[in-house]
Amino acid sequence: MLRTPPTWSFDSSGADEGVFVALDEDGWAGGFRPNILVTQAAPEEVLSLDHLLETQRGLESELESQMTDYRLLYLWGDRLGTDDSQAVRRTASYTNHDGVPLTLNQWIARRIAAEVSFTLTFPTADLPVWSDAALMLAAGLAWKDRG
Amino acid sequence: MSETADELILTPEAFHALASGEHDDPDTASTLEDEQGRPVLAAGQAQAPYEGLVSAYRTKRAMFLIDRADGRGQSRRGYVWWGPEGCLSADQPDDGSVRIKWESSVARFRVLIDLLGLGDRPVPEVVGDPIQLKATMLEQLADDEPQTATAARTDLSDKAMSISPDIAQSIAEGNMEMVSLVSEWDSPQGNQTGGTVWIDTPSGVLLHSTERALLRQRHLLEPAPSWLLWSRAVEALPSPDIFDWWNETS
Repeated sequence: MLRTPPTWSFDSSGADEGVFVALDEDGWAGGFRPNILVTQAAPEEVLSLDHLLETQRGLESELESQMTDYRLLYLWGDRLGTDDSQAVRRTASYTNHDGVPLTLNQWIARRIAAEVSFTLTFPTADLPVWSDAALMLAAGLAWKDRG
Repeated sequence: MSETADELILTPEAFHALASGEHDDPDTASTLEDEQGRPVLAAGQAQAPYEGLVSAYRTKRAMFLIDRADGRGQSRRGYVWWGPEGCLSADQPDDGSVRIKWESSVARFRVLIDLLGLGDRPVPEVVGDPIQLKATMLEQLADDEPQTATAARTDLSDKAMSISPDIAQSIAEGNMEMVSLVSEWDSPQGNQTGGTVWIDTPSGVLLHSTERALLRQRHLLEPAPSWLLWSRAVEALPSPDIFDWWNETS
């Protein structure tokens, strides 16, 4: 369960693939609409936080090659959701195709039932407004494990 | 050579003159040459192919200074000048020529990250309370006299032992940088300033903060996740509406 600000739109058309997107109706710096991407997948195995961190580090060279001016700013342990699940957090800076500098905050948590990622992206110029909101939204994510 | 240069290489002396504002005003009719002796300014006027770069410099509305001191007497300074015509940056080592790059405003955050040396750092285990220190210790850490800097570094390492032995050890080994960002920009309310300071080590980061004590300011250092450094750095820059205002008033 994710509580987004009331004015945001929500796209669950990718639900079959476990992908949900919430999007701010308003454009911020550079016209960019801050958004949250939530993915959910059945993990092959339960990983410890150290293993999860290692897996995420393995993705870095691909992110670097795919995103313009990509710079990793943080990749280490953190907490996600209302029950403070152990998670890996990634914070990175990059520039999108429209030339808007963005900051990405991503949390990845793996539980018995699912691996969940929660990614909030906003224009870096608006970071002073968004950084606290990012923490609140990530902390407010509620788990609802099935049986 | 292309018609518009997006790069200017200067001797240390010429860069120093530029950075200290000697060429800001065209009316001073100053002369500036690039490292190869080609004219950049003649009688205060920009020369091809440097007109665009010089104009971006002269119309700047903000300046960011980034200092990185190694606590052993060595330091380097990074410069960012930003305004409606783009972002200029330079990384000045202790000696040698200085390369000034001119890019669009979009580049400013990437430039800043690289000049600050920001990156992924571990979050160390915290075993105690924030370190209290005197502001002079930070000044001494950045001192260009190796003995003064090293003494301050040893002192800092001793203090850091009580909050993070990992960071304390990195500092003791000289595996550290004191990074400071100072920013200044033009706003409708006049000149505004911002800034932040931290100690960067491979074992983690100590972020500086101040606390009001009864009659004086108390200086603190405590471990922080590296994403927080990015927040502090961006918070020390002018906001998007200031950039809009520059464009309206340029």
